[in-house]
Amino acid sequence: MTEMRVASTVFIAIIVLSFVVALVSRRNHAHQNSRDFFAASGQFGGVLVFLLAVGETYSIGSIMGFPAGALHDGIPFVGWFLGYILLAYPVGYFLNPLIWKAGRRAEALTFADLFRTCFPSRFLEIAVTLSAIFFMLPFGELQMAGLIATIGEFHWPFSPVVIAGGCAVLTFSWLALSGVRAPAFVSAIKDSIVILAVVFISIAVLRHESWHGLVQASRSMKPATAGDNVHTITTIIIQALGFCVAPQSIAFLFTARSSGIVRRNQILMPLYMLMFPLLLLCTLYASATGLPLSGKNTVFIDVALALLPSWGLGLVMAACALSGLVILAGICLCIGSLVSRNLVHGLPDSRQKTCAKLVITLYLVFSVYTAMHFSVLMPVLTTVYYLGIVQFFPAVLCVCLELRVPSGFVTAGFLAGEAVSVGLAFSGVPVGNVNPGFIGLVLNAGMVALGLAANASRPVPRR
Amino acid sequence: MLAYSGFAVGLVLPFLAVLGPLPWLSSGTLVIGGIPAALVWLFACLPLTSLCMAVAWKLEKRGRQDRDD
Repeated sequence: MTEMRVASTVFIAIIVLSFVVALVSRRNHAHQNSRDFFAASGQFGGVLVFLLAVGETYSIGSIMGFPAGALHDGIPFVGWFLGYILLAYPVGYFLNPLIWKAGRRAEALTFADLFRTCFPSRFLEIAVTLSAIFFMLPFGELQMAGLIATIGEFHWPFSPVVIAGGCAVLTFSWLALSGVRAPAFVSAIKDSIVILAVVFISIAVLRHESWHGLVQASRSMKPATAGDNVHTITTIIIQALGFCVAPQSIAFLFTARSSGIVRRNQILMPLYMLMFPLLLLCTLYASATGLPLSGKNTVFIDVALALLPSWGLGLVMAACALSGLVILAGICLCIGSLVSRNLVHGLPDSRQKTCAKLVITLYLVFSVYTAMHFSVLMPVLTTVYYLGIVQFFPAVLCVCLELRVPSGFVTAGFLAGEAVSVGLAFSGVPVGNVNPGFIGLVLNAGMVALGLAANASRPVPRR
Repeated sequence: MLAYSGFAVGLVLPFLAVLGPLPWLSSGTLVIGGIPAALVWLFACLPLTSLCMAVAWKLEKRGRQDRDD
């Protein structure tokens, strides 16, 4: 009992610290316009942009999901998970600076602003905005579900709805204080604590279990089948591309001071992934010792409960909770900006912030509600996230390379890609284990290429 | 020429390194130091990918200097 009290104290202290840091991030920026609220006026240096971007890699889903997925699904899971995140970085190395430059040309704050400037089609702008919002909807619920599971381990006398409500209030207060600056500054604490938690837990695993036992456990991991391989490779390709054109990732790029910062960060990001081998040690420990698990996704927490002293447990719980809250804040901000700038057109600057805050409140209420009632539906929507998001890729490439493609071709390609991907995914039509998103992307890219060819064959008008 | 080399080293090489051996390693029984080779190779690819991008960065920088000269 006393142990849990110590863990709770450490946890609460770190959460309070995150609030103080969010408050500090407001210094000198108390009166923000919408550009500062959504994109920090493009003033962030390398460290803050790195922390914002890398937060996507270490969400509560990764920290809790990676050890659990490796335990249940074996090597194909590890190959897919590490493969797509790792390969997203070289894609981003070349693509992100171009996106940043296109953003500066268009004075963009959201990814849909890029479309508005390059393709004169209000229909396309609305289509990509609605599509992005739809595909991001389940992420709030996922973070909430993770937060409820994590905080639930303290066995506080609060119902899940109170816990989720508390998380929603904290997230809103961060954003209301200083917009995108708050999650960026809080990420600094979050990442330090995540690194400490993962290192502590790895040391504990190595102290309590022999290397031989862990190696034996690694050999009992499920290998891949030929069918797995086709699916894994096509999934890695679409997710690596999709990762770079995700609306929230693009919005974070616009906070950077220069394209050089954006590019240099990509070089370092794979090194940050060296935490995943340490996370895998939790899986191997659970497998080697036959550790009883309290839930499907709780390997990381269960190993921490078994091996760490109470203060260490508080640290691990805080790392998981902050990971969820930072991602939640980023998604809220992205959805808020998309609605206030791209769905509702022509709002004056001061009203954009108010509108975004209203949307953020509604989204947080929606996330709490769905976490309570629709936990079965949301994982289905998450499955289609990358199928849909990757369909932005051909259009974003056209924007970055300043390719002149008629907006009709881009819109048709984008909608056909989404319809084919989602249709194939849910109809059960056999596609030889190829990821349906890949088929949709090929169709989408083909239509955009056709548009490019049609435009190239058009005679250049005489001046 | 250096721009193409940067693209090949920074983008094509990491994709080939990760996706090329993955089907063979993850369904095979090869082990390195007792650990499945797929895991060892994937973990080795983490610093190697950083290295590839660092080389691409250098190549691009040299290309820019050559152009300026």
